[in-house]
Amino acid sequence: MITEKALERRLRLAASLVMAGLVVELGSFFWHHPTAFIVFFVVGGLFFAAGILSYLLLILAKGG
Amino acid sequence: MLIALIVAALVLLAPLVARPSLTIRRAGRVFAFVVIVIVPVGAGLAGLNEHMERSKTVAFCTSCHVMERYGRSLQVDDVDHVPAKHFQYNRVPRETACFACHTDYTLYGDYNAKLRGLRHVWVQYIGHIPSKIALYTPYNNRECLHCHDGARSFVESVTHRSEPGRMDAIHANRVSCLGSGCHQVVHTVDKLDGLAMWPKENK
Repeated sequence: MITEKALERRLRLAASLVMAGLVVELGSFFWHHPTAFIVFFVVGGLFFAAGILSYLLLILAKGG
Repeated sequence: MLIALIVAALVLLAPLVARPSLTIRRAGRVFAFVVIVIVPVGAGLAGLNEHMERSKTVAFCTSCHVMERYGRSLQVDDVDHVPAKHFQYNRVPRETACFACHTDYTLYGDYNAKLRGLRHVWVQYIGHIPSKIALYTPYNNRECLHCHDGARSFVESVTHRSEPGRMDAIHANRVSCLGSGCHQVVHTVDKLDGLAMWPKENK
């Protein structure tokens, strides 16, 4: 059974990871270089994936 | 528009980071699902599309040092230079001139071209840049015919109709547009310094 405290902590983590992904994506638009695409795709994508995945796992752990 | 979407997504996420207890109620849980999953996925896909469009520009392609001379070759003042003629006479969109000729006109051609681009970035930073840059495979007539096929200048060309079966051979890529001695002058980057440019360069 997941406690309320742990739930909040994991939810905050998931939201923070997605926010980090969005910040990386935002930053990549102000850098006009092929590397910006890589940063967006790899770094931003990893943050997005980690955030969304941890949130979905949290939902599963909590039982919907 | 996209930047506004990302900023909006960040603003919407802020309350969840500050007060995760919002999700105790059903409405809060729906809100969390929308701002953690739906909005970021939408922003990510829109961002991918934006980066794909940016990566088609000449400015993007020539932003790496190794490609600078290829970009400059578009300004050679000589109509025998195929890329320069296409660029200067607006036969390809100037903004996306590199991509217009170097994508594959197939179902997933744009994505294949971008995957090759990712490999180029890898080589730029991690690998070894070859002294002479060459295409992975011989240039396919398909890319020329995407625009030229059916054009009067192409169909009625005396050279293209000079012998029976020549048009079929061009269509089947058996006779190369670039490699058969017909339109063979492309990016002559090693000879650029001695060539006149259009518009004229200020020295």
